[in-house]
Amino acid sequence: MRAKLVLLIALVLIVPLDVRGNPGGVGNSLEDMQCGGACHGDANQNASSSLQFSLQSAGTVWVGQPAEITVQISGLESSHDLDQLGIFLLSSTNANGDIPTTDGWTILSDGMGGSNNYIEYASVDSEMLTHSWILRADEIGEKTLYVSVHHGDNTGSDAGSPFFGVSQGFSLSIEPIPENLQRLDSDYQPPTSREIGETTKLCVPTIAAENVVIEWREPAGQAYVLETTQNNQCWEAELPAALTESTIEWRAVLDGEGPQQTTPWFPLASTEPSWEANETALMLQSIAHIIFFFGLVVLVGKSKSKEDHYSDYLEENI
Amino acid sequence: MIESATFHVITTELVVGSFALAGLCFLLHSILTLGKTPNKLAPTMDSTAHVALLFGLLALPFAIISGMNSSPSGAHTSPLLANKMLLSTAGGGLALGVLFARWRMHQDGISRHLHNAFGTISTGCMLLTASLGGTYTRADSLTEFLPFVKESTLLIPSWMSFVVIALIISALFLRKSSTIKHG
Repeated sequence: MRAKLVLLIALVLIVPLDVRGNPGGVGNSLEDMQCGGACHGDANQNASSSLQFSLQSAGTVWVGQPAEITVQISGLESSHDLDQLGIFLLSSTNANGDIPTTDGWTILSDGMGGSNNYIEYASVDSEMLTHSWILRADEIGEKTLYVSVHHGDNTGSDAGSPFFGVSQGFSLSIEPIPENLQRLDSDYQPPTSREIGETTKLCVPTIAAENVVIEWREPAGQAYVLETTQNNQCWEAELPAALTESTIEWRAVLDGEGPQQTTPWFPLASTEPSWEANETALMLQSIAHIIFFFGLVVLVGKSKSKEDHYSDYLEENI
Repeated sequence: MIESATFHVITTELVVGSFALAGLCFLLHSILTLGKTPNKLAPTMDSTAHVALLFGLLALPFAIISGMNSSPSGAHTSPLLANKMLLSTAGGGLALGVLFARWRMHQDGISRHLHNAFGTISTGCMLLTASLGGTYTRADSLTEFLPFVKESTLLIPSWMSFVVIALIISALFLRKSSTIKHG
């Protein structure tokens, strides 16, 4: 009987359970490519993704100015049964230290309300996925960016395996900005998210700009011009509040001595108000929990009588 | 220097492993002591349960503190993290009480089963806490069927926490003085 029990326990421990790597995703974050290989446990278990990648910038990439970097992922045909798709924007494929911020880039927006190099799509409906990051290069010269993905796939011979894919390097030339060209202040960080029901006051600092017009739109929708006023070097405008969880985009059109300059569309996500409790009250309640549950056990128990102490003494000494 | 998140994983595994062993032993101890004839395995189960519980309890403060440090915004910014905090302290309180009762209090018949039940509930609290950790980091756990634990928290005002603390401490002192007088 005992041998059977041991055998049963051993079998239960040996039989693998339904092991899937982060089926709910890990969330948008700053991640090295190492995560793409190792988040699923053993990187040797990865299958190669057949997805194809392209990356391009919208126009010239000026140093210190926001640039829209658009990534296209194709090959998402109906034969693929993807659920989650994680996309990395990388500056190398070393598998560590390859977040673009380590190579002279600043991530101004990941297009999903944050400033991350790794983003996740919960589902993909079309055959081609296009996603944009807003980056700012802090150095002049040639730079290389890579796109990488990881995903599951419930079809094909490797169904159920974690899939991983990385693109070739895409070169970008970072140009010095002409001295009198109107531009955004190179320290400007556009807001990436806000709460539902809140308007957003923009204060866009510029250099050498004589006039600035700020526009907003729903993604790929009609653009609306906002009333923009100058306050020293800061151009102020107010974006309307969102009524539901959504993303709007805004951009600035700058006039000055040089040719008209237009910034990329900056995404601004509206999210539900974040949950927050009183920290002190939570700490106190935690202490109250310890004392309450300790007291509960002790109070419902039966205290040792003199006889119990005596019998304990006898047990211990005789 | 080891990161808080890494340290939290280590300490959590110590807590969960110890509490799981303790919970299983408490359960088996109750089953083995159901009959009239004493089972020779029962004392082993009892001892194992309490030693495992003590070991888990020793690792618990490290798990709680490293968990708080590894959350960038703090436990008060997410109902899930707040529930983790409250469940772990509830389980810790129960475990402390169970160990104290084993040391200082009389146990027979029903009170022994009640004692084992408290030990098992303490384990349940810890396992649920660990499961919430899985939900937080991987968006997947065995307790996905309990959505309310992720979305809502039963919080009481600070004054009520003070009242609870004062009441329990008073009750414990009253009981102690009563035991001294009549025991």
